[in-house]
Amino acid sequence: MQRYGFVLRRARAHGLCALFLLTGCGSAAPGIAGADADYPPNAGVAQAAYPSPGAAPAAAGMGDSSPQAAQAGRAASAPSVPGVANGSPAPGAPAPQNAKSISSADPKTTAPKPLIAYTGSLAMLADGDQISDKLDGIVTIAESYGGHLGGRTNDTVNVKIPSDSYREAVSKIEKIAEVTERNVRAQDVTAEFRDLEVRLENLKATRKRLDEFLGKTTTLADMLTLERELERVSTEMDVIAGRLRLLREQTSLSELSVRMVAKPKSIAQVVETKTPPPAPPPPRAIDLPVPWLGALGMDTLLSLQNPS
Amino acid sequence: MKSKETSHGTKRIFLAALLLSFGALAGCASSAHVDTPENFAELEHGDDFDYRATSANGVVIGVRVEKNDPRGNLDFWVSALDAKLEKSGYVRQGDKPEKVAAPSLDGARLKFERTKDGRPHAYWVTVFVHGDELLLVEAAGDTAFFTKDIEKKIDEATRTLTPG
Repeated sequence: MQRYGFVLRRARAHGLCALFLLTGCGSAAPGIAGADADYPPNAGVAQAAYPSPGAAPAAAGMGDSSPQAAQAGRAASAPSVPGVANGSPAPGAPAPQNAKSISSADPKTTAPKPLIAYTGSLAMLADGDQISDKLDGIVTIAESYGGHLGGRTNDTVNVKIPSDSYREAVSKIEKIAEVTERNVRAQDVTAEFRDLEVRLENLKATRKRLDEFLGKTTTLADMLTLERELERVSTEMDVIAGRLRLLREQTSLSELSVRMVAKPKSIAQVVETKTPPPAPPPPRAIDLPVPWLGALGMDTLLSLQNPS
Repeated sequence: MKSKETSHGTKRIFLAALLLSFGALAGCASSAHVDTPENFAELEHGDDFDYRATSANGVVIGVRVEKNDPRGNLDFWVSALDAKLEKSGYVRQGDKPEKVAAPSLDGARLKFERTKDGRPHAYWVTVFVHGDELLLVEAAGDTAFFTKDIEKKIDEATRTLTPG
């Protein structure tokens, strides 16, 4: 009976230990000892959210069945763990070995290039029979800058243009026809991108630690718990990786939509096509002040019946 | 005796004045005529014409004298006649006026056609500038009767134009 109780306590200690470790690692569990990954970027906060892979298990005595080890495991989750307090390093405490800090990069040497995604739209006027050629010209310009066609209808075209050349290419496109409407929006995603990168790195580290724990655990319950956590971390990594990929695409190739509208025919043109202008009247000679000229002609000459 | 001489003097002055008046009237009375073409009959002149004759088919030739006022040369009057007649519906035949010579006179002839009473008619007018006068020889008639023979007779008659 005593033996059974001892085994029970030992198993509970293992479970708690694992639970503490996992909750400490979970970046998506705000409020627990883990650091919140949604901290503002460039805030200079060390991402010491996660205990050192070596320290925690050692302190927790993973796999150790002694009550001291279990006690130490509980203590690992306490805010008083040296150097880790809700994701913020304690004043004066040495930074954790695996802490990844955004501020650790030297801004003087590695000034981050801004990541900007442009989204623009233009409305242009062109002669009805030239719309197709004009749209082709826009695609050609986009391709000359390394871009490509994104979509095309009878009167619209969507092109992708490298963000570095976006402004120059758009200026060139605007010369193709008369611009009636212009709308260009620039979205700076640098902060979000860097933040996601850091989060991804941290998740990778977490997964590595979980893998290590999984290799060391001996009980089925611990294994299941670790597997679940691994799955959650992997899913979150996939989401972040996808978002990063999208941002990378958006910032490498920006988008421009152009709508081409046919110029209305002027009224003058319509009149010209329907009714030609009237011919000028024949030249009119001014009558001379010579009365007999009016009497000249065959009518007078041939009046035989009544000669005056 | 003295009164008899006075009476004779008065008569002479009166006669001289009378002769002068006739002479002046004779000088002012402009006229011109042509030889009547063969197979034409001379008509009464009337006020508009100094001479007029007709064929049996109604081809008529007439001569009139008008004042050269405003005073112009032959080209001026050719152009004036051309403009006036074309404006009245006459259609010019030929590009240039024909030169016509009469004794001591140089003239020019314009040929036209016009429809009259539903029939095409020919109309010729030949103008001569004679100092302060214009001598005009007109000829007209149905084109069916305005034959080459008639044309020749009219041309020959025109060349006999004599002022006075």
